[in-house]
Amino acid sequence: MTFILREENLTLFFEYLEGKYELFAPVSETQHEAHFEKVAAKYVAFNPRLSPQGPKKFIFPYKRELFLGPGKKDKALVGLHFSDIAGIAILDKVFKYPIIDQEYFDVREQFLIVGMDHFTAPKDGYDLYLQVIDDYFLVTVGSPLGLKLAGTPLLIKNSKITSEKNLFHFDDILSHKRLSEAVEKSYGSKIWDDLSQRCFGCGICSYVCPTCYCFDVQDSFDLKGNSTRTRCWDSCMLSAFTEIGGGFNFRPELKKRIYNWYYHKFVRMPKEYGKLGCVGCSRCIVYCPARINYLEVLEDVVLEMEGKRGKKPLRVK
Amino acid sequence: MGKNHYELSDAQILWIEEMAPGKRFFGIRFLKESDQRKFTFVPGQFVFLSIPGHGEFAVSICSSPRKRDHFELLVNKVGSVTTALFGLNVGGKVGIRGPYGNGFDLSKFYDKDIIIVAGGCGAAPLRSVVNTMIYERDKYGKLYFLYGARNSQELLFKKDLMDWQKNMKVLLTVDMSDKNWQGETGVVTTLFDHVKTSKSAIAITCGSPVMFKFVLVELKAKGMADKNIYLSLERRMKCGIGKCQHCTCGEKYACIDGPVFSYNQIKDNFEAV
Ligand code: SF4
Ligand code: SF4
Ligand code: FES
Repeated sequence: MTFILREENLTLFFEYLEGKYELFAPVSETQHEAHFEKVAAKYVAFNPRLSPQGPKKFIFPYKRELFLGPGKKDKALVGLHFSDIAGIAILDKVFKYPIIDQEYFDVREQFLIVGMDHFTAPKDGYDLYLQVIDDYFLVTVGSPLGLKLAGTPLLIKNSKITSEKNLFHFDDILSHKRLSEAVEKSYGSKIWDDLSQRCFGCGICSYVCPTCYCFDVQDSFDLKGNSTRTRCWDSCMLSAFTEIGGGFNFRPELKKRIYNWYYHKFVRMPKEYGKLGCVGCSRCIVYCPARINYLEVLEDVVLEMEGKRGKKPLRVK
Repeated sequence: MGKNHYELSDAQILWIEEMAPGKRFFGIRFLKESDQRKFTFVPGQFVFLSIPGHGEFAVSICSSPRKRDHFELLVNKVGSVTTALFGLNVGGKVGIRGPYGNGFDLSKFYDKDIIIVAGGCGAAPLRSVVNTMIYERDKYGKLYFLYGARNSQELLFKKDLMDWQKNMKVLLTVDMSDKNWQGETGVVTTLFDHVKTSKSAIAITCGSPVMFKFVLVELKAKGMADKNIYLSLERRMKCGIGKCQHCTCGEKYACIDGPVFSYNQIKDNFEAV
């Protein structure tokens, strides 16, 4: 179901939400970047800038004590981009199937998700989604709670059939039919050797990625001798990731870890969840200290597997 | 609300036996009788043993599921958590969660000859298999237990090995012999010459990744079908529920798809064996 929110009512709408939830939205610090922070309703607006750490840091915190249990749903992440929401939808799926990871949902369910972007609403991963259109917002309801919240006079039922279609466009290589197959077949290719000469194995691409979720579980004592167990982010790019007690390592070489990063997103996740583990947000390109562009890597992989490497480009750059 | 898989049940160390240098054998029982009663598993499954403040680690259960009043674990002292465990005495408290993994479906092996091949600590999960088979000995054909260790001191479960001889053929070898050792010397595959089985025999193996490579060569040379060869894989594990990614082998997860795989499931997998 969709509603119309007039542009001049935007702040009123977020004040209405502020009455029920603490708001977190992307705030600009520089010309290029935004960071999710607690904000007052009057500062919420569409912010086109990329946030180095999107909303993942809230719903899947980089460090969180286990066994704290669920909390109140009293916080709202607002102003999320299309790809931020796609990332949340993927994490929701991962932690739900085939076995539910309750620790994730204990945190996740504390947040209301309100998207805001120029693209047509995504399928899932949000409560409300505001599509930015000229002088109004087309509001799509994504959950029963979203529907309840839409019961404000600020939102007008959308009776006219709007065809404001503006579909999110994936890079050509990400929608390539044989991408998964090509990555799967490319094990052992020189492409991965070459890449391991450029990559630092720093793991930044995992930390900024909205769909990366691998984690470690660590224990510690405080000064009083009380122990806590925490779950914290990890990265499959780091060398100890697959090391077992006694020192044997299943992926001792960086090229194997790099391959696994690609394999996970473009082969294992499609097999497990029927979806690529990438939402095309470009964070891993922007923040890679080695200036590695995974889209160029994927293009090379597909071309090589099709025996057309160096012949014709697959992507419009 | 779903079940929180990370939650632990309190358990206690019933006894400790020194098995080999840096390897101890533990009897464990849940503190709550209801937890102990509910705890059922199949051979080849594992649990997480936890020492609060130090961490937790995945470890195979090495007793038979038929033993209901407690269960047994063999622990190799290799890191900080296992070191903390070695600091505990009988009566010491630990946390347990599990069981996890698929384990072996022994009913598939009924009426067949079986070759079990263990290397080093790989004997631990296989002990659960053997002890269970011995309970129902008449359900299987010929049984072989082939076991290779670094030296005679490192041979685990010596008492069991003696017992098992009554019911099956137990063949041992060590990499390095010493004055206490009168048996075979060499890698575990040297024992294959003594094995005579039917074409439909089943092989079950657990050991180091290096050992898998040459055991597979020998089993294939014996003409065994890929689907009749079972391997139990060891990986780093942090969750046990297919999330943390530490245990992945290509498209498979050692923690939920395994740790037991038939060779035909993983022979094309680029990082399983
Ligand atoms: S951010 Fe770049 S350099 Fe760092 S691990 Fe990822 S690809 Fe390699
Ligand atoms: S573009 Fe990079 S950071 Fe963004 S979802 Fe894809 S892999 Fe992750
Ligand atoms: S142990 Fe975490 S995915 Fe297998």
